[in-house]
Amino acid sequence: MTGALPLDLGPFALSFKLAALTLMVLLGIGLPLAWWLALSKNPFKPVIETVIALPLVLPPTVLGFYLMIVLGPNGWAGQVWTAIVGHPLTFTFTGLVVASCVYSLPFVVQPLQGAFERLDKRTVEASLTLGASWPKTFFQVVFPQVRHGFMTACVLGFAHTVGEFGVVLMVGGNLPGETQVLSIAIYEHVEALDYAAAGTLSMMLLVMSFLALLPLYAKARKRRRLMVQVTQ
Amino acid sequence: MTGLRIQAQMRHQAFKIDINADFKPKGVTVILGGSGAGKSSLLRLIAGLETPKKGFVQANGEVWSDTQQNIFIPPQKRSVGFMFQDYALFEHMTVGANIAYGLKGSRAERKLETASWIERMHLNGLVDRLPETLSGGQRQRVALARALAPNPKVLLMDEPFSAIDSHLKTTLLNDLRTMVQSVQRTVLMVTHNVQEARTLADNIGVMANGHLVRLGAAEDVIEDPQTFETARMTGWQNVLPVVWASGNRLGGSWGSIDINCSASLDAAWIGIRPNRIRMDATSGSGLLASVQGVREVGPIREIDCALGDGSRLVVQKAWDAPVPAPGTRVYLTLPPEHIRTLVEGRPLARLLDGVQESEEVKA
Repeated sequence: MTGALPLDLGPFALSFKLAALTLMVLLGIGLPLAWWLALSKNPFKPVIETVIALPLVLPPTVLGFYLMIVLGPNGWAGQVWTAIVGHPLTFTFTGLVVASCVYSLPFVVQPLQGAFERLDKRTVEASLTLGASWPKTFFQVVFPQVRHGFMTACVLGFAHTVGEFGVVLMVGGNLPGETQVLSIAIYEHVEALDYAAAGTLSMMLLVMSFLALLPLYAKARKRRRLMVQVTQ
Repeated sequence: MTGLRIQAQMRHQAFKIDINADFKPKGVTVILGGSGAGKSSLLRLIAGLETPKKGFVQANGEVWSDTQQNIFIPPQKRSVGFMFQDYALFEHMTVGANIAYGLKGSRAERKLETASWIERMHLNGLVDRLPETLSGGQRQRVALARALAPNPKVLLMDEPFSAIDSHLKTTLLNDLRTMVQSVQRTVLMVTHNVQEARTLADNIGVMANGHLVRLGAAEDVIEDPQTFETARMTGWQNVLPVVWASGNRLGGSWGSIDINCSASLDAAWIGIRPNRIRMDATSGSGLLASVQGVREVGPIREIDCALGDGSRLVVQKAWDAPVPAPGTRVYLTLPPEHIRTLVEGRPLARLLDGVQESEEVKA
């Protein structure tokens, strides 16, 4: 145990920033997308659902590889981005946000979609016939019914982004302060045989993930208990 | 005040709905129809929850939707109170918050208004309760209060008794009748239950296969159904097919009877209510039948009789009247004044010329 080296918390902050930004973007995309998926009878819906679910089954390196190609200097997204800001998306923090959004999309969309599907649609119609605007309907009638799905989407989307490794490595590389997130920093510490630093960061990640997930399941348990009371 | 005028064609899944109607500005109109007749779609069309493929909806002279003029007023701006089947209460809100949801004005005004509805609907003491803790009847009253509180021009009720236990229904029907009659506005309720229609309706409409086949004063519709569908929906249990007509006599494989007007083959069926048939074992006149069974329905007994060709007729007797045992041969007399001739239901004539038959929605 060396322990003498001061632990660099930069990667920790970077992971946090990445996860928070990714989650904000994903909620912006995910809420309307999940709403549409829950209500749509479009024949292409299964195709779109499958595309969204792909990051669940693909090895992160495969996803990362494709993203690296698309976002890189020769990829279409990379070229568009280069034309606007002057450099490609790969090996930048913005590139990481884009990649993380693709990678964590199912973790945000699926819980929201499930919640919207379980939503009693007639309460929405009741709200509208009572003269309520769409925003009022969303915040006072829809949101309270999908709150648990929303919380799940936030926690899973955030935690999954914090925990990503393969995609980050492929798209962002390992640039301290720019793309060196927590998981990459841990990997680097292990390669440098600095197990103490790797252990501390790992433990922090573990505790943080545990604390993020615990309220979610505690809440689910409380809800189930409530349901039992109501039905008895 | 012109009430509601509707002339609309719409498609619901693979089912075509084509409605032309002029509903009275005041009083309760009950729309009767079997499941899938298009009753709920009619209400959703009026509320703006569904859009017509073609046609218009007007309320008190105001255009709510018109496909020709490209007008569509969204449900929020229509001033309709919609009472959903199973009520669709906001389960996460208290009774008070449910009722106050559609109210406008200051917090104090809304509170006052809510309190008056609580009082009026006999919900005292329940204002802070969650809907899940209420009984079926209380939930129904919360739903009605919520729908009426914003003072809508039109009140729509979709099967308001489907979630109510039958033993509570009579009391609740009377309560609802008092409340609905006191609000003085266009009220449309859909149901498949003729008892509800009889208790509540000033006017009755009958829907079958997406069409409104009859609309008139409740008494007229119930006493003289005119069409097969209307007779079926308004409790005319006994309907026999007509195969031949001559003079004022009609008949079929089940036998023949006299009616009190000249018979014609326009009438495809005859109908008679079970309490109008006279039954005896000895007269030797009337239709010969054999008793199949007897069942008790509340304070009356229903005797199921089979005619020569197997057609069934139900005869009602008071609970204490002597009833023949199953297997007994009896004679049934159908008094001509109580027989109604029935034709096949056709859509009501179009109100205006705007929509052409040839341009109907493709199913």
